[in-house]
Amino acid sequence: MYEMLRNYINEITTSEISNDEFKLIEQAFSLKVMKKKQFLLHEGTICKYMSFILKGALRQYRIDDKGVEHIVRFGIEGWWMSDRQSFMMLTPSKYNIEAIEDCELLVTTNEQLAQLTERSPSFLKMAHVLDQRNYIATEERMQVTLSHTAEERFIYLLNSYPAFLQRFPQTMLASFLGITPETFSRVRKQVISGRS
Amino acid sequence: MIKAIKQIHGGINSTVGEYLVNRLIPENGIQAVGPIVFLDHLYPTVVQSDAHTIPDGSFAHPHRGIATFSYVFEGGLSHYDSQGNFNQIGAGGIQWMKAGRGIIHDELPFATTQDKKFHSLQFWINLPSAVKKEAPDYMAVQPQEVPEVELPDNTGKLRILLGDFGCAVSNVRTYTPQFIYHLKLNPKSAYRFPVKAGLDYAAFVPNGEVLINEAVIGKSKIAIFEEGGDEIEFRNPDITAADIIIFGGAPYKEPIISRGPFVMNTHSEIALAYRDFFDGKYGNIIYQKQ
Repeated sequence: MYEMLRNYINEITTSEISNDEFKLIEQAFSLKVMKKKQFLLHEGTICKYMSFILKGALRQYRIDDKGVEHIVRFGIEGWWMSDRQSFMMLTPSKYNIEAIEDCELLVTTNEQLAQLTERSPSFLKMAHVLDQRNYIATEERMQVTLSHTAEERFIYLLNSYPAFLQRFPQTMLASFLGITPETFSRVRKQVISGRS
Repeated sequence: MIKAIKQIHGGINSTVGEYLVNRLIPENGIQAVGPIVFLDHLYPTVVQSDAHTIPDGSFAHPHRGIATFSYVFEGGLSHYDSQGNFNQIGAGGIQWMKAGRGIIHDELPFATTQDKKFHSLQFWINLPSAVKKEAPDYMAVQPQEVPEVELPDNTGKLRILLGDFGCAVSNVRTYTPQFIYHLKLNPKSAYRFPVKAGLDYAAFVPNGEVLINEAVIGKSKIAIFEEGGDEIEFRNPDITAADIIIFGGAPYKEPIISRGPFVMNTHSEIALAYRDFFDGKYGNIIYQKQ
């Protein structure tokens, strides 16, 4: 089960991690199995774990004052899941993280990561690359939600995360894009018929 | 001889809780200026809380290995911590908290004027390794308790927020040579600020624009100085008073390892800081109407 994480690190760092170094990484992570609808994080609690998804899918969402859910992030195989702000700064999270399929995760804590940062150059390099990617993805997503029309948002989804369309219900995808399910359905038809 | 500027930079936008801040240290390759390892400028913003608002706990977080130092330009700031401390300060006041071996705190900005503006700075001051192991400590400094020095020829005044300047000494505890001054420079005035050898220096300009050694610096930019030299020239070309924060101190000689809200000397100490938090060793804040 650790092979997926090993391949991922090799791919991101464009190098081959040694057995000894990977053993340190193995020791820092443990397996967590979750059933669909179980929660990895509840709003108001501290995010203790950083999770690498081996199998399944999760969503990170917040609930506004009117009780409406807003999905800020999905996670699928080979992605990381945590509330980064709460995980690093130890502030209570504004988010919930819920399994939307049965999941298998490799989880670690900041206590483990602090040790790993010192002992594993490959993990450190991977963390740097991920920070950069995360920054770029967050900037792009902010632009989309600030200034894009519903149609542009759908095209962003289609181009950046095509797998989501096959995997998640339209209501969740609409919430992820910040539009109503009705608008989602309409622009989906428009864009797909325009392309065919 | 003028102390030369090594670098000027504008920081990077970040969010703290619901607020937009400019993170100036660490940034752009600058890890520390003297013992100061962190500086956030919370941009002027409108807040809805007042002095009676009790925080909901959503911003509470731990610290270890540093002292936090908040300075308020506009509005007021409440402090709560897991040692049972509470106090409030107004504009010109200071909230100082020595985290030592670990504490949880919460700070709530509140409005004190009709325009509901809040504007502040937060520094993190690194502690020597022995002091990182000590018990937490806290003090609030009210605006009227901050010593002020009138500058010659009616050029302005210097508020001594931390450290000393001539005979004026701040009440805030220090463990190594360190200083934070608020220079209020009168319109169309210049002041040659004397520097000491062996200390790091930086100057931050929150708003407006001033000339520092003839370089234009303003609008939340920071200047980091080279070693050497014996004075820095500050010039305010404007017709309203200018604010400049001058800070630094003796370079921190021990290793600096920081992660999240903790600044320690080794990765193992960082790991322990996280473990102790989840083991509940930093206590809890009890929010109540004081």
